[in-house]
Amino acid sequence: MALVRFAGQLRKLVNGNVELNFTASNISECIKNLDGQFPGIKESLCDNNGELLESINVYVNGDNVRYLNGLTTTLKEEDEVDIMSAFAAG
Amino acid sequence: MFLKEKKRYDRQINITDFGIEGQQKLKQSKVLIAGAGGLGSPIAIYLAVAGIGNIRIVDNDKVSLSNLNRQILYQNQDIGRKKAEAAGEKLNKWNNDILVEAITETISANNVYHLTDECDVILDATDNFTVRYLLNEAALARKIPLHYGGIYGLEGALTTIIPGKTACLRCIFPEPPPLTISPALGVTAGIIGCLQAMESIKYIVGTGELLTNRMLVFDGLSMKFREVKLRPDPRCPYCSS
Repeated sequence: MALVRFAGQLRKLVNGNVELNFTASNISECIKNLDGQFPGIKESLCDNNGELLESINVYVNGDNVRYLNGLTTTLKEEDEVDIMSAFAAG
Repeated sequence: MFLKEKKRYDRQINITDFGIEGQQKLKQSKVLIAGAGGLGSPIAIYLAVAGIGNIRIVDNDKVSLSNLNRQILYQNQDIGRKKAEAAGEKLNKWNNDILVEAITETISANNVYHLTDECDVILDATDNFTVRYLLNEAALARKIPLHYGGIYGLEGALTTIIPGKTACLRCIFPEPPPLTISPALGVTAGIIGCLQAMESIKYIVGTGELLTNRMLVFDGLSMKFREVKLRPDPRCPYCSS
C-alpha cells in the first residue's frame, strides 16, 4: 500500500490523520479511493474536468506529478505520496 | 573590523568557511525582512545578532494580544505599538552596531520595488500570497534571492529561490492556497524562521549547500522533516525566458 500524507490546511480533509495507507494503481485512483473514505476530497483537489487544481501539488517520492505523468502517475506499494498546498501564514 | 566586533562574533568567526571575511560579508550586507510577525521575529533577531549590517524590516500592523503567542519580538507593553517601530527598537538592543530601517508600510505593487532597493536578499515572512507573489516578482526583477517560508499549525515549509537558477514561487505554487485563518504555534514559526535566517546567512557568507530546487517540509506532529524536489517551470510566465 502507498503511504499518503496531507500537509497543512489540507490535513483537515482527512480528519487530521498524519499518514494513511491506500492501495491504488495511480494518483487518480488514489484520490478516488480517498474520496470514498473522506467524501469531498476530490472536489478540493481537482477542478470540474478532473484535473489537479493549480493550488495543489502532489508529490510521489518527492517528485511533483506535474513533471511525471500527472494523475496517471503510477503508484507502487512502497511509494510515498505527499499532497499539499502552499503554507501561507507567517 | 573592530576588536569589539571580533569579540562579539568570535564564536561564529571560528566556524569553518566563515572567518573574518565571512563576518565582513555579513556586516556589509543589507536584507529585507518582509513582515515582522511570527516568522519575521526569529529571522530578525538571529540576523541582527549574527551581525547583518543593515536590516530593513517592513510591517504595517500594530502589536495585538493575539500576536504574543508567536511574535517574540514583542512583549505585553508593546501592545498597540507599530510593529516595525517596536521591532527596530528591540533589534538595536540586541545589537547596536547594526543599522535597522523600520518601515511601517503595507507592501504593495506600488512600493515593493522601492522597498527592495539595494537589498542583497529578501526574506519572505509575510502572511498572504498576494504579497508573497509581489516579493517573488521583485526578487526576479532584481535578480536577488528570496527565502520563502510559511507555516500552518505545527507544520511549515521553506525554500531558497535564486532567480535564473531555481524554480520561482510561481513555478512552485502557481495559485495561492484557499484563504483561511491559519492556526499557528510560536515554536513552528521559530523553527521555520530560524531556518530561513540560516539560509540567508549561508548565502551571504557563501558557504554550505542552499535549499535550492527543493523544499524542506516540517511536521511537528510526527517530528519529521522531508524534502520535495522543485524545478523551474519552462512555461512559467514570471521567470521563464
